[in-house]
Amino acid sequence: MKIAELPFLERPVLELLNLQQHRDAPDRDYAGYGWARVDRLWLAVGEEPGMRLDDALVLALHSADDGEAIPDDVELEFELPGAAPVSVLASAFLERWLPKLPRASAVVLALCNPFDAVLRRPAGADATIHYGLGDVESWREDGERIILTADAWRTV
Amino acid sequence: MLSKMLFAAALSVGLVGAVGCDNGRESTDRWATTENTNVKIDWDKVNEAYKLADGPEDLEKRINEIYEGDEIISIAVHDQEDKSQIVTGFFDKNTDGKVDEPEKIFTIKRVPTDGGATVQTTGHGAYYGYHSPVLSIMTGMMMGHMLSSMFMPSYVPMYRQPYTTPASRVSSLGSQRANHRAANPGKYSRSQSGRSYGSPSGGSRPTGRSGGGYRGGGGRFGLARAGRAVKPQRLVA
Repeated sequence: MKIAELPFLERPVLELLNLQQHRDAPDRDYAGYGWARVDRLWLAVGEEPGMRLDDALVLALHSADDGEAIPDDVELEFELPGAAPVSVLASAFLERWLPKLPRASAVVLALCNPFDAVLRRPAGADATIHYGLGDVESWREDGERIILTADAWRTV
Repeated sequence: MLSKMLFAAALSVGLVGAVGCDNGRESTDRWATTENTNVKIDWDKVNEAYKLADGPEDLEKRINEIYEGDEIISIAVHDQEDKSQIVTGFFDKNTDGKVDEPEKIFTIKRVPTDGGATVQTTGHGAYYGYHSPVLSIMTGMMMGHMLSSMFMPSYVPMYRQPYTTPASRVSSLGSQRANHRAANPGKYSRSQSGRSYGSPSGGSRPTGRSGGGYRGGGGRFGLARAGRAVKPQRLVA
């Protein structure tokens, strides 16, 4: 399989971020991935109100906690239906997939960054890319506001 | 986690000589209590609000959502020629739309440096003696337009003629805050008059994750894989 052949599909944002059902805490076994455009979401640190982003392209991805610690990259892992999981470096994934996805005012990576990698800007990216440090989790506040939390947020 | 974010880039704690404050010492406590209103201000949140604000009006809204008392906090924003900026929070008691010295609550001072800027908050009046750590701001950090604009080549100081919260806006800020409080009761540990509601459980403020009830969890974007013998094949093309 090639990176460009990964089944990285558009999904409804609530489904993509596992927010269709109410639960007290994020599901730590969630392995879904894909992309969605969202009119508005918030990037927060802990319980703070966070920063609002309008017109964002959200990429839901996963890193593995035994992935390689790379200072400027994150090893992604995809659980494939009916096949063994595969991994891809985030830099390689973004360089191939971002040009194929719709343009938006901002790109948000919903992706745990366990080693606090400082990501480099992918070639050809034309919007600010927001990524988190540490655990990244999705939340929904008052049944409306979509929030992604991290230890901190960075842009590239 | 907030502290981690805010203090990750802090250069140093900006304490200077402790003279003349009410209790004889300066304070970097996150919380401070006024004498006249008995309302605490969470300075970490104030500093974070400045970092994330898109402009003066957004900052006014954020600051008043943080403040748990009855009064409305007005702000004044004054740009200097060298990209320095001074933001003053004040109670506009005489509703003249100007900062009078006795009305001051805090000032946030942004000073440009070679690689970015430093930001420090200082308390006034009942909050006299508070000095935040000196926070280092640099490109790449998450910040709102109010801060990030200084990094743009086309930066022009917009508030050389200072912006001050118009007296006519105070009432709409009050309405916005009332709506926010009504929508987020779990976020407020105190009543509008500054009295404590008490802690819902365990003596801590609600986290919004297990006790607050207003924030529901979705997913975590990491996979627990520790201990597996075979790692997945890495795609390179």
